Amino acid sequence: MNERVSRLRQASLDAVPRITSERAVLLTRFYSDPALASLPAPLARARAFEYILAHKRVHSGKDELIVGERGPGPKVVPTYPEVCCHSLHDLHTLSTRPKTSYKVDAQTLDDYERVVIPFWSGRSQRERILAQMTAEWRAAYEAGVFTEFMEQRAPGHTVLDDKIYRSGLLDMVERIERRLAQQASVEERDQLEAMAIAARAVIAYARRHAEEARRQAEQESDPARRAELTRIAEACDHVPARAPRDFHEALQSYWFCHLGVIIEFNTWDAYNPGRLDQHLLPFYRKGLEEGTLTEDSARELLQAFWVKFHNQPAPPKVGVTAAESGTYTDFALINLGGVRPDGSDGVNELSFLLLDVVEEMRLVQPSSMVQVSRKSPDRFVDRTLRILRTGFGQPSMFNTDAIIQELLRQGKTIQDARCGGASGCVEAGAFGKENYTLTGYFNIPKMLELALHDGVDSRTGAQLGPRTGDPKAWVRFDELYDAFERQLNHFVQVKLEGNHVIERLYAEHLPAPFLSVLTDDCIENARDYHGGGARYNTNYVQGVGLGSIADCLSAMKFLVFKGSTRMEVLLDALQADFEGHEALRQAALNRVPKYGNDDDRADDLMRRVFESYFAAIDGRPTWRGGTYRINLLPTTCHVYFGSVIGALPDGRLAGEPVSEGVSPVQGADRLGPTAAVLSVAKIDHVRTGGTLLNLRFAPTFLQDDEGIAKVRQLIRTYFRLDGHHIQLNVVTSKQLREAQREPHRYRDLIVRVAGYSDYYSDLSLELQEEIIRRTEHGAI
Amino acid sequence: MTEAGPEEDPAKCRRCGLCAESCPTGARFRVDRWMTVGELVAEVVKDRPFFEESSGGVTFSGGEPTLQIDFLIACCQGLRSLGVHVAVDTCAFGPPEGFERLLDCVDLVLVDLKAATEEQSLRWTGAPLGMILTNARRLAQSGKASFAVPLVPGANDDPRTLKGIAAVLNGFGVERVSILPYHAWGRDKLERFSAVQAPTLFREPSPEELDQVIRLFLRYGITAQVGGRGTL
Repeated sequence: MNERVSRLRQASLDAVPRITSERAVLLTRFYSDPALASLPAPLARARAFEYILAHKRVHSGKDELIVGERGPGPKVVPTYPEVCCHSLHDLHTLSTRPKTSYKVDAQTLDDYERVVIPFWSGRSQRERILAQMTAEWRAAYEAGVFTEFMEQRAPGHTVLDDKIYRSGLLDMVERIERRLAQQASVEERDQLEAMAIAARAVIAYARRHAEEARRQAEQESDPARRAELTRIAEACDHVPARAPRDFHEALQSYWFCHLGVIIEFNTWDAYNPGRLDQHLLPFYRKGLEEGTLTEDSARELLQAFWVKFHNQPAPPKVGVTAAESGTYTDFALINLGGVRPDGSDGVNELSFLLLDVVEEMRLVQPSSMVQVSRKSPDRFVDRTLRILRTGFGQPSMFNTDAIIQELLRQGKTIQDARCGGASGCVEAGAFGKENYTLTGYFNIPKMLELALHDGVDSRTGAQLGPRTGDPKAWVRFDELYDAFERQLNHFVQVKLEGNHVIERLYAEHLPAPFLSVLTDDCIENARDYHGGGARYNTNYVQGVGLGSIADCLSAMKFLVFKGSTRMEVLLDALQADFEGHEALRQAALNRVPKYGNDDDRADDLMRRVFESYFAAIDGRPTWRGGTYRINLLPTTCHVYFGSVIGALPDGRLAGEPVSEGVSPVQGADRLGPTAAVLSVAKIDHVRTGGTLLNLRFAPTFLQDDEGIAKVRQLIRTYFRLDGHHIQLNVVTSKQLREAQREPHRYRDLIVRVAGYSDYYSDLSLELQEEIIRRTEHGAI
Repeated sequence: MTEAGPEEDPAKCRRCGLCAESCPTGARFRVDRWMTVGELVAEVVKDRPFFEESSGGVTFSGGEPTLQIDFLIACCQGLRSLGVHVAVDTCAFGPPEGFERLLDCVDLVLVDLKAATEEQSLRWTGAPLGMILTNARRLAQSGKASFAVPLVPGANDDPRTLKGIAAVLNGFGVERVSILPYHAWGRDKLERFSAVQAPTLFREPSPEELDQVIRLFLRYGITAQVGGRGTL
């Protein structure tokens, strides 16, 4: 990277995340006017959005090429008290917690105490939601049966398509006006007018940046920088009002749309340009052809664009939500590769340039992924693997062919499916056309714990679930399974009933007119994004702990129902957290079939749970007229869910994390990556909206072309079997040291020794040292 | 098993495997298992998606797989009938008629040549060189063989031995050979079996020594490469 980018990058890395009261104070000022607060919700929201954008500070930093910040400066994060109003105590926690803290200055505390809290206390969406939830929902939520995504953040969970590269926001306003000219109810008119106000507000906000750039240009003594500032001013005058004319304007246009979405709301997964290599390609080729762009100048612009994402830490969460997602990352996941709308291979020269940018910038944000279709060239996969072997956890790898099948099954057109991809963690979506909301994680192993205690939460002694019978009376495995399934169905029902209320509350109180402008077909439907305006509407409940539940059921089946362990003894052992039952625990850990070894005795139990979970959720209607689907991903929620479950029959001790994603329980897969991959491929990924598989390798595995080819073949085989996603984690030599001290945490770590592979923890100390030496030597 | 944990007296071990069966942690386990041809084929075929993606297949190695020639041939036939590419890694010592039958049902034979004289062969492998060379010649003629020379410093890395091996290969019309440099990774496995530290018998050849070996083979018109087994 050149010196400018290096400075921008370093400044972003050095900046300390802070919380600003700017947005909260502006919003409060707006809503304090009774005349404005009493407007219909969409109009009030749009006008408040306009007010914030007209009055928030415009930041245009030294060296910048792409301009605009969500807060008053880089890494300064606004708050959204209308969704969730932080208390002074929350702000204190955020500023003092050891991990992912946010500095809070005296001014912010003062504003919160005097202005924000007095106004929003009792009026926030979070309070509205919690007040309307049933006692049953609250008890389950507090017990850690499920989490709720929308109590602190707005839905979001969506991605932009190519529309802003072909047209400007003024074209959207024109479409809105055409739609207004047609028949529309009062509510529909309000929605449409709100969308037009929001679109114009973002155009005006961009022009404030043009003014700022011109002001800076006048004072600038360096002619080169003056020319840049003039160029920035021209770009901000032109986009996003109109379609971009070049590569620079394309990036700047997206960036204003991005800011609009994340200032309007604290959307989950921020916002996301999606298929960036596809969208930018025409501008890139045209620029090169006309001589107005070079590979280097394109690279510099992309790197400057990368810094902008890095400047936006996730809006601060509190409580359970912070525990389930404790990261600054806001999950904007840029997609590369895949296929084009006509189904042909989508990998192009920009895909490779963008991979260079990912490698060189080495920033946690934005996230990046590659879509690998069966048409993608090997060298695209190999280039990605060469980045991964440096120990950088990006890009993750997704199977385009599986994603397309998933989206087609959900009823999307083939074209919309091909233009889609994955966002957030791993969620499949039709970009620019779908509201796909993740509503919360669901604790599947907890259902077994409840079944084993007749519905009583063993942590609290409370009767949490239905009474499904005394386990000591069960003589057949199916009786246990039925009890598990009844608990599962019961709590899915509780979760979905809560979701219905929450969705309605968002549509009624907190419409999102700007996101609606960007999402097809909200304008044509004259309906808000939160109200079902999008072309496709999908809700997910994300299942967590599939590996754990499979192994638990296997332990129950083979130790109790088919074995010689009496149910009483097992229940006593669980109660005692295996204290005094070490032999039983070791047998549960080591002597029963485990998911992840291509052993149908365990894998069939996984499949059975998958079918139960699928049947409980898939196809059910959502409040806004969409459909429920399932996916299987945990972020970091498997840690939280584990913390609310006592000892489990698979030998896991109380409080330990449950398995993550669709990966086998840590250390339970012992027959190597091919067997693990074959087990995981037994999940019907196509009937999900995303699954997450992690594999861990030592860097020596990828040290040469032969190693890279082998891992590529492993990945392509998994994708051929319809696997949705794979994340390769290449460990560092530091982690190899850790693995020597704590082998149980690295039981699955595979190292390439000499033409063969072995589990690291099985190697002698001497050989482990040799591997560490090679890793350090081979580090890039 | 006693209250205090497992006790063992290796002298009394009858290899009944009961200790492994009663070990709850699985720390002690049997490395052998009886399988039928059908079971083995079924186990191998599980990985077929991977073979197909990598254009790979199965290699039977050892020990010496041809010691169980009938079982081996049945497995090879079973796998080939399912379209799996089959290779056998052998030292070429054994009854010639066995190799004759084997050739009919494999795609590739990986042959190791380790010695150039009868005396050397008997000393380091315990097997007579004559029979090995007879088999090796037949395998070379079949067009299905790929040759390798395990290079063990102090045992067979002297120029006379290597020239002898090169001359033999040249006589077979072989144009390429893999050099497999000795390494000590196997010690780890050995120690797991015997619970005593394995002695260091040999050292690993240096890159310079490997270069010399490559040059030596070139003089016999044979292209040698280090590693890279498994291709014709």
